[in-house]
Parts: sequence; structure tokens; C-alpha cells
Amino acid sequence: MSAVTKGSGLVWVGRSIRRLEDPALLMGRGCFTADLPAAHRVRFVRSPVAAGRIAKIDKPRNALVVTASDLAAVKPIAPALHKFGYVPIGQPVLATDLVRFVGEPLAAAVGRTDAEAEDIADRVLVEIADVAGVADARAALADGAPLVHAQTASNVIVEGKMATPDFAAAQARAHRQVTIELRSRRQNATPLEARAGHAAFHPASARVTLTCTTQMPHLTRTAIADLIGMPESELRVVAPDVGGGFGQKMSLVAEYVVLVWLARKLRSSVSWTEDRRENLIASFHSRDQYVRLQGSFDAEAKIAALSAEVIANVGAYSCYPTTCAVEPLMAMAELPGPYVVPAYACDARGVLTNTCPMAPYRGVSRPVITLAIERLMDEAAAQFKLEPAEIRRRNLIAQFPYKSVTGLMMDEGSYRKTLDIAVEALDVPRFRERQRQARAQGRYLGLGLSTFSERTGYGTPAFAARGMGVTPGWEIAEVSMDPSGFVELRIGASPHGQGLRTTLAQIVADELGLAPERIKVVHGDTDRAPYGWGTFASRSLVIAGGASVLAARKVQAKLKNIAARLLEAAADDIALENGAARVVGTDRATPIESLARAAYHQMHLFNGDFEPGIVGSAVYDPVGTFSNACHACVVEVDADTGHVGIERFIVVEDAGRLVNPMIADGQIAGGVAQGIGNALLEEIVYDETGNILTATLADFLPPTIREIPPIVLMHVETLTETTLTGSKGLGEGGAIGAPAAVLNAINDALAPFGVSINEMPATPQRIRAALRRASGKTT
Amino acid sequence: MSEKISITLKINGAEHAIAVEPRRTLVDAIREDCGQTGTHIGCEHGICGACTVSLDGEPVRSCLMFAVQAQRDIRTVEGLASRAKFRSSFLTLAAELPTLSTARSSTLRVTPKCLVQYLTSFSLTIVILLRSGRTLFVRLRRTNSSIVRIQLAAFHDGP
Repeated sequence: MSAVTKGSGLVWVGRSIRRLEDPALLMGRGCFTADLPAAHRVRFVRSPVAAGRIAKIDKPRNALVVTASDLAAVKPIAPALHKFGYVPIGQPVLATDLVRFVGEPLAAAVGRTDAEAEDIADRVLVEIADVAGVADARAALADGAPLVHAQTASNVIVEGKMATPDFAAAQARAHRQVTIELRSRRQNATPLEARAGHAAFHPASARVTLTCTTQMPHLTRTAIADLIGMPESELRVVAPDVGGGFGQKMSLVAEYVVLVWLARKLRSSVSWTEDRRENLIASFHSRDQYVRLQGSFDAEAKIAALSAEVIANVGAYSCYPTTCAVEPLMAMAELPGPYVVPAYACDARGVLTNTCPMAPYRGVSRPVITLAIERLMDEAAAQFKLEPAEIRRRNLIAQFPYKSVTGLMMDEGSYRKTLDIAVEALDVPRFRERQRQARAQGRYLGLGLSTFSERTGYGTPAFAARGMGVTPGWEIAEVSMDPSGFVELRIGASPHGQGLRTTLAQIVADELGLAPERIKVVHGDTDRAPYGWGTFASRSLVIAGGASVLAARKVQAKLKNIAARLLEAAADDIALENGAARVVGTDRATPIESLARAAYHQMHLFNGDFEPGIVGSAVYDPVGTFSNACHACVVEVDADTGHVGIERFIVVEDAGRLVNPMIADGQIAGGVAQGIGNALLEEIVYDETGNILTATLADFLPPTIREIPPIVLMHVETLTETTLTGSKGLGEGGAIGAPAAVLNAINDALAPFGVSINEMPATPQRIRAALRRASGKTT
Repeated sequence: MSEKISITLKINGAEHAIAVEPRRTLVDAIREDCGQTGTHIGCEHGICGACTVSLDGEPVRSCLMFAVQAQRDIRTVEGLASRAKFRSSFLTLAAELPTLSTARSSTLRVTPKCLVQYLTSFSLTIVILLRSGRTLFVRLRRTNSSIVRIQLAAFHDGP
């Protein structure tokens, strides 16, 4: 690949400049969806039961309440997947005859204020006849379990199944079998800003502008236009400042479809701001999985074969565009992780239940499968009487590129190096001594490692391989310079906290010899930005960044050609630096804005050799790249209370070239905080009838700053050849690696009791229960 | 519930004469009736803290208060920011951070007392991210030689 951004001479890339997006956000001057005034406010009436048949919906008089019968012409949300036996199911935007989970929207009540809309919603009387439902995935697999959707033969909506030809023989030859049964409880991504939509009809143009908290503005436009049956040109989707997404804002939101429909009907503006209860019960959930993993090891403690069974509870409907297959299929494809696994078998099922639908959440399946394989490695290490670091060293991939047993091509990483740095920082021998002394005093310290790879920045072929009906991948970037020499970079990616307005400006700044402040990144507006896929799957810096480089180089070439004419030199001898075009090795130079001015206002100088203006656009669609990291933590478990305190947390991360190390650190630290929440605190609980018990933040517990320890971050920079900038994605890694490090540390701490904690979150109650079982006590 | 009461909210020194229903929460009044949207609503049950404002100098959850209770001196994020104007002051101190000697950067949790203990010989930039009670959250970044620069990038009161 081109060496322009690989070599030295980078001025802005690699520097921790302050985020250009921050001043407005820190001063309370951001613009979020809920900040927009609307003529009408919407409150959704939601199902109070997990499974039922709607008998009657009584609307109050003198009030506008919309139900499914009003939306008869609106199609249900029905994403497609053409593989793995996926059965397409539809989700009506408002429930028609059946309700399938607590919180499913039944009706939209419209008022002039939120309070009035809530009053109206309270007067909507709904009669629902109970039907049998099922909330747990294993129960849903049982013979005679009620079917969530009539068109599926069982509640299995998708099943990925594979076995390498040599699997049975490899397993049979193995020296030792180690099995882990793991349970990951259901979680909610919990962005601080819940979902919100604002749809405004413009009478002059007959268009609707939907402003909403989305990670995918263009696809939201396409999807809503398809469902309502309107031309896409009549809909503009804007993602303004968005207060966190973590995947929850990636999927299409049924409520937004209702808002657009209402704005057209009322020829006015309508808005809905989700409250926290709605977000917890009816947005999207994730990570509700059972994993059974069996490792077959040779006498040297190397993996000879790996087999896995994954049961993912996908809830009641299938999210658009990824479908609900995303968790089980990602588990199947990526479970072998950073290890050499010669033989592999997997059965990964997505199971429908009467619970809130599953959708991607930072890391998707990988926090769970990383936990599974990392617990397996520690369990095997104990059986082989090896240090956890040693068994990993023996199994980590060291030769690159490496073709995984599931067919993934893994580019160069630093799997062993990041582990070695983390282990050295921990000073394991000293820790073991401290652990021994502490145990003698009845204190239980534990050390946990988590090594993983993170597939990031993957383009069209990777999504196509999944058989998705909508195949994301590429990104377009458009760079233009106005006559005053300021640059606009327009991207289809849609950052919502990742700092791309800064990092992409840094990348383009180096291509054009300008300061980042002169480059304004425009995104999140379908009228202003080129069609694109948005921001998810740790892709934007790699893919939108690559497209930005290519587009900026077109502009760079044009600037050099113009400068060559104005300075009477060859274009190859022109350098763009410090805001000027300079003839290399001379003092002849001209400010870049003079080139811009000439390109618009002095075209007669160029005899028609160039087109007027300075614009460039480009597409980038990479194959994908694997970043990697080692997380290590030290915990102390209180054996009396079951409380876990994290003493140290170290992350050694390799995401290739860091465009802005400060922003990279922020991404990793935030992910680690979420991972710690997953590991210790966060759990969505349903009772057996499918009623949800965790509808407030007093019940569903995201970590606060009190629970998050100091996080030491270190970086290795393996400059990958597979991306244009040498960068790899890192948005999800913190969340992927942290739960396994925490759970391994807890298990290490509790080793004297002979207990295994293979369930997350590892709450004090679960730890206490395990200790009671181990001691034979019943109380 | 629709009978409205006339009140005056003083936000960041400016008086807003508004009419609100008794059930109107303070945060809704600040955002909707007074147009100050820098204060956000995160959970509406007092857990997340996104709606925190200063009332007569004390932090309060504006989602757990009614607007009619709040005819006092209110400061919101907009008011803090206008005073801060992103002023930074720099202190040069020495620091010792043995556990971080190999770290390129880190986020540490320290009390002010600890912070003083850390100050000796490593070369780090400390950016104070936020203050919670007696705890400062700082970001450390190694720079060049044996100095620590404590960059007070947090908002300051007054000039």
C-alpha cells in the first residue's frame, strides 16, 4: 500500500491534540435530539405482558392515539439473511394482533407536551388475552415450548453449525479434555442519552426531517422510506450530537417509523424522547448466552481441538439490518480468538423468546466468547499446573498472516508481546508471594489475564459472507476546499462520541499540509454527507479514515498542479506544508488559500487544463484487520460478603498506528469500564413469565466512577499493511477483554475454596452462593 | 393538573418568568420553559446525575425537584462554562509514579493528599478530568524530562 501516511513526516497523525468537538459539549452547547422543540409529543403505550393476543384497544375521546390499524400500509421490519437456516420474521412497528415482549409498543399517544401525551397514554385501555410465553432460551428449546413466532418450526431462528473434517480424530487423540460451562446474563448498553426522535414535516417541500439518535443515518432513511412506501428523497435523516450508542442506536427503531408517519399525517413536528424505563425494557438487549466449550489439549498444553455450543437468546424479533443472527454467528466465527486452533466444531443457535429483542452491543458476542475461552485457558492452566501466562504463550498465534480455522485471515499482531508486557508490568512472581501472604491472613487476592484479538474495519466481503440482505462495508469520503482555503470532509460514517471530527481532521491535515482546525468534518446528515453505513463494528477510523486519505490525495494532487502553475515549477516538486505550497528546496511558496482562490476565481490562468473548484471523493473498502490486546487485573474478593474490589487494571493494546493516542485511550478506558460493569454489576432480569424486574438504574447497575479502578494503558503499534493508514479499529476492545480478566482474577482469588465462577455478572450473591456450596453450608 | 403557577427561575444570573404546572420538574422547566438545554435528562430517578445543577451553591438533581421549589439561585453547565472560558493554568512540579514508569499514559484515581505524594521525578502531564468529592480524576501523560506539569484544565470559578 502507499507509504505516504506510513512513513515519517506525519505532523498531525500521532498527536494527542484536544478534541475539536469538545468545547461545545463541555460548555453545554451541544445540540441533541431532545433539545429540539416540537409541536406534538408522543408517548408510546406498551405491552404489560410478555405474550398475549390483543382483544381490544380503547382510545380516549378527543385525543389522537395511533394504533396498528392506522398504520395498515406500513410494512413490518423484516431484515433478511440468506444463510444458516434463518427464518425471516417480521416486527410490526406497532403490535397488530399479538404482543411478544413486555414493552412492545402498542399505540402512540400524541399530546402538546410530554406530560399531556402521558396523560392521554394513561387513558388508553388495552385488553390482552394471555397466551403462553417463554423467557429463557433453554426453556424455549424444550419440547412443547410455546412458539414465539408461528412460522418457525421451533424457536430456533438461526443455526450456525460447522466441524472441520479432522475434528473427531483430533479430539480423540488429545491428552486432556477441559470443559467450561458458561452463562452470560442479559445486558443493556445503557447510553446516557436514551433514544429520541424528532420528525418535522416541511410544507414547502413536502419533505420530512427525522432527527434521531442513530449510528446509521443513511440506512435509517432507506429503511423508513421502504417501510412507509415513500421516496427516499422525501426524507432527510439527521444524527445531531448523540450521547453514546454502543450499538444500541445502530438498529432501526420502530418508534422512529411511527414518528415519520405522524409528521406526514399531521403536517407538523412530532417528537419522542425515550425515558430510562423504556430504554431498559424496550430498546435492545444483548449478551444473553449459554456457552459450553470443550478444549482438547495435547501433552504440551496446546489446543488440539475445540468444540463449542452456543445458545443465544435473541428475544422476540430480529433487528435491522444485522438480524438477530449476529450474536450466534459471530460467536461461531470468532470463538477460537487469538489462539492456534487446528480443529474446531461449533453449533451456535439463536433462540426466540418473549423478551426484548437482541441487537449489537459493543463487542457483540466477543465479550462472552472471550470470557469462555479465557476461562477455558485458565482452567486448563490449573490442570496442567502452569501459570496462566504460560499456557497462553504456548497457544497464541505467532505466525502472520494466519488463516483461522473458521477462514478468517488475521493480519500481523503482537499477541505474545502484549501479553509479555502486561505480565512484566504485573510482576507475577511478586504478586504470587503477596497472594500467598494475604491468604494466610484470610484475604483473597487474584490475578486475571485476558488475551484476545478484535476483528475491526472489515469491508463488504466480510458482511457478504454472513449472507446479510443488507451488506455494509465500504465508505465514501468527499473532501472540498472552499475559496477561502477551508476544507470540508463529508463522510457517511456517523460518529457519536468517538472523536472522529478530530482524528479524521488530523489525517486529512497531514495530506494537505493544513492545521486540523481548518478541516471541518461533516457527518450525520443525509442531505449533506455521502451515502454511507455509519459508525459501528470498530470501523470508522479505518474505513472512513482510508476513504478520507484517498479523497484528500485527489485534492492534494489538484492543489499541487495549481501551485505548479502559479510557482512555475513541476507538480512533483511541490510540497504542501504549514498551510503553504512550497517548491521543494527553494523559498518559493504561496499560501494554500491562494491556490483555492485561483481554482474558483482565476480559472482563466489555466487554459482549461483543470476543472474549476477543488473537490475529491473516494471509496474505501478494506478486507479488515485484527487488533489485539492483553488485559490484566488484580482483584480482592471478600469471602464473607462476596464483594469484588479491583486493585489494578492494565491494558496493553495494539491497534496499529494511533492517530490520536488520547482519544484511543479514552475509547479503551470507556470500553473497560463497560466491561467491568458487565463482569460485576449489570444484569437484566426477567421472571419466568417474562416480566422484567430491572426497569430502573437502581436495579440495573452500570458501574459508577467508584467501581472503576485506575486503568493503566500501554500501546504497541503494529503498523498493518491491510489498511491505508496503518491503523486498526479499537472501539470495542476494552469491552471485549475486560470481563474475562475480571472473572479470571476472581477465580484465581477463590482457588483455595475450589469454586468456579463461570457466570457474569459475578455478583456478590453468586460468589457467596458458590462459596456456600463449596463449604457444604446451606445458608 | 393543568393549572399553571407563575414563578421566576434565576438561571446563571438571568431571570426567567414562566408559568408551570405544579408537577413540572425543575429540569423540564430549565430545558423546555427556559430554553437552557445544556442540562440533560438521563434517568429521571436521581441515579445518573446528568441533570445535576447548582442550587444556591449546592449540587441537586433537577429531575427530583419541582420547578416551583426552585426559585433560588440556579447555575447550570452553561453558567459554569461562561466563567471558565477554557482557562488553563500550569503548575510545574516533580512527581514519582513508580507503577507507571513503563506506561505511556494512564488514568489514575487519586486524592489530593495522594497527588502530593506522587509529585517527584517522572515526566508526566496531569490533566484533571473531574472532581468528585475529595477525589480528583486526572490523566497522566509522559512528556520529556523529570518534570510533572499539572494542567488544571477543569473549569475554574472567577477570573
